[in-house]
Amino acid sequence: MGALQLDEQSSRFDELLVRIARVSPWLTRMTDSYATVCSGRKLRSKLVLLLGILENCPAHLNDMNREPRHSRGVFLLLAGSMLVVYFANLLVALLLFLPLRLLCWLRGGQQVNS
Amino acid sequence: MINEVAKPVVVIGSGASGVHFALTLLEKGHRVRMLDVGRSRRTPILPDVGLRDLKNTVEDPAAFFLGDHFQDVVFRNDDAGYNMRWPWSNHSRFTAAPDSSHSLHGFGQHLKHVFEPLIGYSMQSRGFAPVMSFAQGGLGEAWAAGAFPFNDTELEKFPFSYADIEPFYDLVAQRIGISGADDDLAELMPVHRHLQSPLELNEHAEFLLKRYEQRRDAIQNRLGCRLGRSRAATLSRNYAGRQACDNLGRCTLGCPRESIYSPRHTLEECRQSDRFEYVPGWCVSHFCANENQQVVSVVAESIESGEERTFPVGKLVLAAGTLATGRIMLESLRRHSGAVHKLTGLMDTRMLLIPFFTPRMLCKPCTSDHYQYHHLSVAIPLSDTGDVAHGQITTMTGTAVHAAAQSLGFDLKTSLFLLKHMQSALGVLMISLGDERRDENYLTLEPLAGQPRLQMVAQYQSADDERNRIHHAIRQATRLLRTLGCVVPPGKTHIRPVGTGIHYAGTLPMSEKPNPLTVSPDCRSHDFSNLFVVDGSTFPCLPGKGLTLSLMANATRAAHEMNCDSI
Repeated sequence: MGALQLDEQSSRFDELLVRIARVSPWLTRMTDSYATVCSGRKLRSKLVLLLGILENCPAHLNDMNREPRHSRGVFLLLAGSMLVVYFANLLVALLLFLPLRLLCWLRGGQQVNS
Repeated sequence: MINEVAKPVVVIGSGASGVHFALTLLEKGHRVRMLDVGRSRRTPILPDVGLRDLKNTVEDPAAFFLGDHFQDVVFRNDDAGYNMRWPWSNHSRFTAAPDSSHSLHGFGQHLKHVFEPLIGYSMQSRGFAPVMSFAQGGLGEAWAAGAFPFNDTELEKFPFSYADIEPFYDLVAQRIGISGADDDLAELMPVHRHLQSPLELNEHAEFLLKRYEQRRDAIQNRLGCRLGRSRAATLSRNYAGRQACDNLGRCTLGCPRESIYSPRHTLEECRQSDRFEYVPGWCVSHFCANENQQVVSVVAESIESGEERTFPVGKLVLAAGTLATGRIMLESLRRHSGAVHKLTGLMDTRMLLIPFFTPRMLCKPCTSDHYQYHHLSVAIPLSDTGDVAHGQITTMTGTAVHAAAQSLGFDLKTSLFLLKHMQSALGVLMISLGDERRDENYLTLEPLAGQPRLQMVAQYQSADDERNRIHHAIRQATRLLRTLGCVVPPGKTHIRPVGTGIHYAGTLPMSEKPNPLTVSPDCRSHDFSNLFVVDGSTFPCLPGKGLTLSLMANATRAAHEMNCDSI
């Protein structure tokens, strides 16, 4: 499936998520967390495309290096804390974005391109 | 009687069955003409560079790996198949056909020639996701090289036993080079001759094999499962002008060392013979037969100009794969008798993907410089009657980061962190469930609105007991993985749509009785006296394992038994 096809199917709310994600890295993470469980295909596809390009870009190969940096114990601790942050982000994102989505829907903006 | 003396044996298709049939006939001293669409592959660049180093070596790595328009970026797609999220999920989704625009196989542009559709060659499907190839070597150009012989239990419905076909497994193994071992899986996969030593294991696969050896009694007695080295048509030592696998990790891009066997290699061997004529660029639409039920010619269309041409036939051999052979047969019967037939008994293996991770392998360095297909195989009994599912374990050292990160289900930053430390511990157990011929699954021709030609339709409906078999297989596989010290995350098991197994069979089965639309045990049609069918169409049942090696062995057997005195 091409990225362009996904663009054509995006909703007004998806557009809004993308705009919010552009504001700061923290908001990118929050909107991405939201997109893992709710709508946000356009944002997710943009982030995945970016990740795909970065993992194949020589300048960023070190960032994508698969050599683990931590021992198993440290990793488990860090992974636990990252998951806590993920779920906290998700909770905040749901509280913020679900009403926003409802608002977009009520204003009748299901399809931007229709 | 037509004069067969001046006319060659015409083989349709250069896939696994066609090339081995042709080579066997050439070895017997006969003349063979092969008609094929025959799309050829691009020469792999930098054949000595491994997957990891390619990113630093090629001019534009993003275009190389993702395509010029990023068309090979993998987007997670829940529609292509069915995630086992909830045990009470709707059974009807098992049969949902995926949107054909979704990339189901993820091979990308490097194997584009294998899956590229042929303009004007379309088919409709219901409950079935068909995959066809018009490449030289057919779908064998992109197979995962699993080379598994059928045992006597699996051959029960075939008109021959393992002892009858064993010499042909030996011969094919000698031709193509198969690596493997005589281990606990020998009962499921008989050990034929000419096995090369098994391929080198990576650290994760080595750990799992060691763990199995430590817990063998519990696994065999309590679960009835077996685990061992996978059999692969991949060379572990240099052989027949091809190089041994040296762990470049480029398997899914098309092996640049030719270590992984492709029917293209046998085609090249056939082309060395002056009695062999390869005619690429032609797509056969039908054959013509006379009133004595003898095939006299085949009609093919040029893929370049659309020009139609008739080729004379002494004996015709259909080896284009179950779907393409079915289409040729249906179209020919329609022209010959005026009636549209149904070829019943369409089968495919159902594929289940069970991702897992091995905690003991966490935080280990992960390198893609390894063989990327299956290292280990498992046998999982599904009933006391010999129904066995065959599974293959792949460790995911070469998977693209963007594809794997999405499947973890968290935001990408968290997923990337987890992946960096977990990739060495990730694996997938891919299970194949066998199938049986049923009348409700068939190929036929149907009119399509606005189209002058009838179009082929594949209709498939799952068996009533499939849900139970799937759940049982997943339960048993999960128990096995847990006993091996692995964790199976809930909700991640993926049931692939029927058709994506790409082990199609059963529409013109071998039968001792001369029933219409069947072939004799030596693969001669019961409808046309000089017509042979030697691909998967002739299999009367489909065991739960890869069938490619058996296709080659059966085609070799059929060619060996063919009486060519009149050619």
